Amino acid sequence: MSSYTQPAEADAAVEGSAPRATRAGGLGRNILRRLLWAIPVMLAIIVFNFVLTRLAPGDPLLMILGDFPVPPEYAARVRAELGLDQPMAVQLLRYLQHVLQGDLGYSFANREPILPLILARAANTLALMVPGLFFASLLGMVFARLSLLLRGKRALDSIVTALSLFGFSVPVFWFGQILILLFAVELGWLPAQGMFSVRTRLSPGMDFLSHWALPGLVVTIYYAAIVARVAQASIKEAVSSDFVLTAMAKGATERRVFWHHVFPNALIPIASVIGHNFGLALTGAILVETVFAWPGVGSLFMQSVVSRDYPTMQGVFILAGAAVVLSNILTDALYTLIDPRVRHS
Amino acid sequence: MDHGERISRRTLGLAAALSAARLALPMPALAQAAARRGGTAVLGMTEPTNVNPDLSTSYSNQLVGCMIYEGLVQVARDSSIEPLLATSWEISPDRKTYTFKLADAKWHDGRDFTAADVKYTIENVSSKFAPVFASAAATIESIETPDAKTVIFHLKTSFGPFLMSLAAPQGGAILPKHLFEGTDPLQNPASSTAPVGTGPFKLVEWSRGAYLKLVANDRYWQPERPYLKELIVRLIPQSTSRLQALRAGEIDYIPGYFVAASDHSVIKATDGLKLENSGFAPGTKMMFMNFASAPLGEKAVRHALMMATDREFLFRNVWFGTGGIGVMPFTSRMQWAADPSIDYRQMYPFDVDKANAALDAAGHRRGSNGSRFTLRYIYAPESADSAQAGLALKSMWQKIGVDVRLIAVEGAAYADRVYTRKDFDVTIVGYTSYGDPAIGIARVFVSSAIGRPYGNASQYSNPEVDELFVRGAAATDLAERAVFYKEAQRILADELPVLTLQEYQHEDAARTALRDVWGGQGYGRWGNAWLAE
Repeated sequence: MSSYTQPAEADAAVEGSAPRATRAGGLGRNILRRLLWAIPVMLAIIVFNFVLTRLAPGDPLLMILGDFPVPPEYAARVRAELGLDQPMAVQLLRYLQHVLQGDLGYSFANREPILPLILARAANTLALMVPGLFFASLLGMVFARLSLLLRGKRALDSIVTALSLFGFSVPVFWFGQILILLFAVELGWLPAQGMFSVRTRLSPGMDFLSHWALPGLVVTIYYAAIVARVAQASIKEAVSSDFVLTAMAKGATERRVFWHHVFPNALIPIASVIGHNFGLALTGAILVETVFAWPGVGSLFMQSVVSRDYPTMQGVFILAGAAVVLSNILTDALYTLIDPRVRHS
Repeated sequence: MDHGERISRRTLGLAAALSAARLALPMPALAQAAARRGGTAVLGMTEPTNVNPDLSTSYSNQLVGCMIYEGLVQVARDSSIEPLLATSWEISPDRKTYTFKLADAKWHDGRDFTAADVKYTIENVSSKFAPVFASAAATIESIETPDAKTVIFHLKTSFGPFLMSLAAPQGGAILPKHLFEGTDPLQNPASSTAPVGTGPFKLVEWSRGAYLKLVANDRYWQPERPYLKELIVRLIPQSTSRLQALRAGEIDYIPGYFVAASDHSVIKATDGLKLENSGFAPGTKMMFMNFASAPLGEKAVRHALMMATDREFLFRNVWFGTGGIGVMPFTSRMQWAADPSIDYRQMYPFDVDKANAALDAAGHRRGSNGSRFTLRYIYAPESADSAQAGLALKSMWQKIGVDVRLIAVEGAAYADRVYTRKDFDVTIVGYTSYGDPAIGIARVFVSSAIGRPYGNASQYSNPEVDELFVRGAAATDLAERAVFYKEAQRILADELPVLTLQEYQHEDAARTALRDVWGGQGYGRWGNAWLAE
C-alpha cells in the first residue's frame, strides 16, 4: 500500500478543518460539471445506437408483414408509411429532432408511442430490480464480512467463496427454470410466471410478493455474488495495508479495526459496483424477465430485437444509457461524501 | 359437383337442426357434453402486435383477433365452409357471382352490422392490407349492396377458394366502417387497443407485456354463446416457461403454434393435460435449394441429395415423430388435391450408394479430400428443429461427399437473407397450406413468388407449373381443380425444387377441463369453448 494513503482516523482532523460551505460547493460544482458532460455522452449514445441498430442484418418490414408473400407495391407502401424508405442520415436527423422534443417515436410493432410504452414497463422492472439490488448489496457485504471472519478456517472460507462463485456464474436462464420446476410445478408454492395472478385469493400485495419471490431470488443471488466478490477483494486489500497493521499494533480490537479502518477504505470499490448495478437496473434482468414472463423493459427489449422494432430498441437504449450516466454521477457524488481523498483532490 | 354449395347447404342444414334441437329439447343424449356457463380460461402465448386479422399473418394477432372480429364464413375441421356473419349464400353457375345474406349482428358499440361494413372492409382493408387475401382480391371486380343485409360479389374470374378466403384468418375479418372509414387501418386504435368487432368477446384491457383481458359479449348475435365469462391471454415469451405455467395450473391452453414438438411427451405424461389437433391448416417442412447456386440447379444433384437424406431419422429425432414424413410435393393431408400415386419413399428411397452413383454420373467427382462440393445450410437458431436438422444433414451428406457448412442467422435477419438477398444454398422452412393449394402451396413453386418473403425461395421457374397453378385456382369444382394440381405434382415430384421432409400439424396443449375450442384453421372457436370445472 502506498504511503500517502491516509487512514480514515487520521483523516478526521483534515475533514474538520475543511469549511462546510466549500465542501457543499465542491460537490455541487462536481455534479454540475458531470451533468454537462452527460449531454455529449447521451448524444453519442443516441447516434451510436441508431447506426448500430440499422447496421444489424434484418428488415423490420418483414417482421411486420408476417410470413406470407405480399405484393411488392404493398411492401413499399408500408415501408414509406414507417419512414423506412428514407436514407439513414435523414432518418437520424428526424429522430434527433424528435428526441430533443421528448418524443421517442412510435413503435412499429406495438403501434404505440414509445415513451409511455417504456415507462410503464420500466416501473415493472424497477419493482423487480430495486428490492433485488438492495438485498443483493446487503447480502454481498455480509458475505464478504463473513469470509473475512472465516479467514484461517479454510473449509468454511472455501464454502463461502464457492457460493459466491456459484451465484455469479450459474446461468440465470437455467437457474430460473430449475426454481420454477421446484417451487411452482413440483411443490406448487409459488407462481411460475408473471407479476400478478388472474385468479387468486391473495391480497394484491401478497400476490405481488409471491410473484416476485422467484425472479427476485435469481436477481438477488446474481448481484449479491458480484458485490460479494468485489467486497471480498477490496476488504482483503484493505486488511493487508499498513494502516491496518498500525491500528492492530496500537492494540485496537478486530471489530474496531474492521469498522473504522478496513470497511471505510474498502467502501469505494463496493460503492462503485453497487452504483454500477443500479445503473443497469433497467436492462439488467433481460433473461430473468424472459424466463419469468415479467412484463418489464427487458422482455420488451427482447421482443423489439426479435421484431426489429428500431424505435423501441432505441428508446430502451436511451433510457438505459441515461440510467447508467445518472447512476455514475450519483456514485461520483457518493465518493465525494465517503472519501476525503476525492473530496480534496 | 359444386363443392362450395354442397358443403354450405349441408352444414347449414346441420346447423339449423342442431340449434332447433338445442332450443326444443334438453337433449339427454348430449347431456354429458352440455356446455357449462361461466368461468375464465387463461391462454399462454406471445404478445400480439395488433388484433386486426386483416393486417398480418402473425399467429398471436390472428388468435386474439378472431375472438373479436368475424368473417362472413368460417372453416370447419374438414376444410368445409360454414356460415358465420353470412347466414347463407348463393353462387352463380359460372361461379363469378356470390350473393350473401347477412346475420343480424351488432358491433360491440351497439351499432348494427350491415352490408356497408362488408363492402368497406373488403375493398379498403382486406384487399389492400391482408397478405393472404391478395389472390382473392385480385379476382374481385365489384361489390354490390342492394340492401343492408345483402352483399353481392362480382368476380372477374372464378377463384376456387373464394369462399374460404372470406374467413377471418385469411384476411376477411369484417371491420366496422363507422370507425375505420377515412383512417389508416394500421394506426386505427380499433386495430389494436380498442377493437370493436361482432365477435363473442370484447377486449377490455391490454396490459403490455403482461396480459390481455377479454370479456363475454353479452349482446353476441349467436344465441347462448359464448359460454366463458372471460378470457385472459397471458403473455409468456419463453416456450419452456409457458409449458411450466401450464403444468403449474396457471394457464389452461397453449396454442399449438407455440408448443414445441419436443414437449409433446411431457404434456401427454402429465395428468390433467391433453394435446388436441389445433385444426390449423396442414403444412410441410421443406428444404429449399437455391437454383442460382451451382450445382443445385441440376436435377440429378437434387435427386441425389434427397436419396442421401434419411427422412425417417429426421422424423423420429428432429420432429419427435410428430406429424408425418413428407412423401409428395404437397401435404398428403389435403386429400382432394394430393396425388396418392406419388410417394417419395418409393421414388427416392434413402440409399447412400445410389446417391453417390448419381453424383458420379452427373460429373461431380470427389476431390482428393473426398469432397465433391460444399453447401451452406442457413438456419435461424431460434427454431430448434432447423438447427438439429442441420447437424443431422451434415453427417448424412458427408457420406456422399457433400460438405455442409452450418450458418446460423438470427431469426429477424433470416427472411431477408433467404428471400430478398437469396444468399444461401439450402435451408429448411415450414409453410402452412392455408387450407388450399391456391393460397398456401402455389407460393412455394410459382415464378411470381420468387424474391417474395415466404415465397419461392428455390427460385424454381417452370411456365408449365405456373399455368397449372393458375388453372387450378380458377377451375370451378374440386374434382376439376384436382386434375391440375395432380398434374403439377407429377412434374414437381420429378423436378424436386424442394425436398418435402415432414408434414406437420400443430397440437394445442390444454387442460382436459377445457372443451370444444377446436374448429378449423387452428385459432380456436372461443365462442364455443367452455370449462368443465
